[in-house]
Amino acid sequence: MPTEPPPRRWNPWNLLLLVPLLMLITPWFNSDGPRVFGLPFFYWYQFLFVPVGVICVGIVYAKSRGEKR
Amino acid sequence: MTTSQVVELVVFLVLFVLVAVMGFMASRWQAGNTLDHLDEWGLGGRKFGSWVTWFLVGGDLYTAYTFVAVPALIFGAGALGFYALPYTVVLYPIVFLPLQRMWSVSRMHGYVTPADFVRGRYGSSLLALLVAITGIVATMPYIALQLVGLESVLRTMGVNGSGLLGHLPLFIAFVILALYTYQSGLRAPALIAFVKDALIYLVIIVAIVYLPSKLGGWGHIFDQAAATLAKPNPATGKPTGSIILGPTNQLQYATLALGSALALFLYPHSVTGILASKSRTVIKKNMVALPAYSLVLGLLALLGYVALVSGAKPIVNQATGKPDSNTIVPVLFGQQFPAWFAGIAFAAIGIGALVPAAIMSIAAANLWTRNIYKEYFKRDATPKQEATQAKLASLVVKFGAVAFVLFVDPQFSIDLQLIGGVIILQTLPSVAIALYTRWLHRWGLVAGWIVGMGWGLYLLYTIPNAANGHAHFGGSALATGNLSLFGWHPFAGSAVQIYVGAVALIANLVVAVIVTVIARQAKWFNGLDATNHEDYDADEGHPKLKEIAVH
Repeated sequence: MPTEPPPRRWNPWNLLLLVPLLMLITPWFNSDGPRVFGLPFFYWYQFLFVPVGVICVGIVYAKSRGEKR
Repeated sequence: MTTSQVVELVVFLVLFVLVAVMGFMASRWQAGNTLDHLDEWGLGGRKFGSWVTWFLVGGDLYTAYTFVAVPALIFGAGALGFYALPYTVVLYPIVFLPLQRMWSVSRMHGYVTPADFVRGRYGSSLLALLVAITGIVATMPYIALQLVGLESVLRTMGVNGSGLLGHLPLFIAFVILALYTYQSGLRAPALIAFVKDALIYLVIIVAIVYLPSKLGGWGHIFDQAAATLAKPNPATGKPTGSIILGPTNQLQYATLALGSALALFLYPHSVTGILASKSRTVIKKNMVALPAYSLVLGLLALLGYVALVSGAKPIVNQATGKPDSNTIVPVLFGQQFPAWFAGIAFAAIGIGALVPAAIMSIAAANLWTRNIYKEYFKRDATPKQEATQAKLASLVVKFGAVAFVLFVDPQFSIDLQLIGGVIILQTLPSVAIALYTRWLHRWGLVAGWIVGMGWGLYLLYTIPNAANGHAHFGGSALATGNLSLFGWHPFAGSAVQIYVGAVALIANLVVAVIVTVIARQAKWFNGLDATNHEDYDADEGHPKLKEIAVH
């Protein structure tokens, strides 16, 4: 059996990458109201996750700089 | 052809010629010593910085087909079509870490394709061949669909001849594309992507600001769209769709978004864009910046509702005699915009087809050359011979795609694209999981691939489409009630739908794990690993990086 590589340095900030997956839980947002600028909740809620995703990935990126490679 | 169509066509042609000239000049852009090496022709010298990568990968992932098909899906079915937004939002967090490892190990060993990596990781040319063939088969219909996108704008501009002659403009466009890809390799789409993306952003922003106000605001548009979608479809007697999800398609929505996100960076053309970048930092920055395109895609998707309310009707494709719902966004632009701006919009979609088509054909050509030609036909191929082979293969791939569009019903390309997502997902254990661990045994991976592939294709085959009367390949939504494990129906009677790709991937993983356990008990040989664990963390400046384009 080939030897497995030792566990890598794990950065706990990486867990933030899981947060955007919350948008897959459809019952939380599958409704027409409340509307914003005429957009049903279903749509603007999911649009809000675009910046959420960017912020989460951005933080993980920032926290990974200067990490020993 | 009307006067405004002439204006549109002139604007379109001017922009098309501009990018063609750029495509030919691209071979001299940041040129290396030679183009006779796959690192140069197929990966642009592996030195693209953050901006180039952003445009290149953006132009690669957000294709013309996406831009016409996603609104067309919303136009036809409502909320379900919006899955494209969660798909491209969850995508980047998921691939953020694995892609860096893929880049590092490929950069250390000079891998050009995902199958190269599998070959190195497992020392198995069979597993590499399976991954390569899966990649080529999944990519071909994707290229054909770019042509469908390009043709939909040509037909909207009145270039809508019948018979084979009707496809002539498309053919000419593709010959030009094939020639400059042949000459310049990946540099051509990288350079053209700047124009494509600038035009796309311009058009979408204008469309999203201008069209809703012209048609009475979003509130009115959604109310009207809800009413229109609630009307029963004459073929099925059920409503065609709704502006929020129903009780049975929420799981389908979530699994389709997740499955598509897991699949996207298994496609060879996406990996090509990543491997062409110069460092891990470039990839990380892009994972933060690429969602700008997701925003655009989400906004564009909503144009499906705008089209529904504006009364736009899909154009009848003279070559097939059927209305083509993919023309809905071009038709909307043609009706609502002044002719000169519609011309710009059409050029954006048309050029949007050329960029990914070029990258996809390069990626497929790389797979052919590295993992089939070199592995099975000419083991001692020199880098120059590899590059020549890949250039020729890129021509074959493109003309194969044209033949597809000429002789096959576009519906078939769409079916194949659907299949493509399901089958490329079956390479996830061999490519993505292998980036982290070699625990899965190579025979487990092969067995999992066979089961996932076979069952996935079978399930797709069994799905009918009531709306257009097709008995098979009617979509990717499987009613869980129909799910059968050797005759046992674990969810009998349930109408809840799920994405076939998710079901097939789970089967793949289960089989891979079972066979792995058996193989480890029986102490079967698991191949030699050519990679070291530090290879997966290497970055630019690492002393042992493989030199680029060395013969």
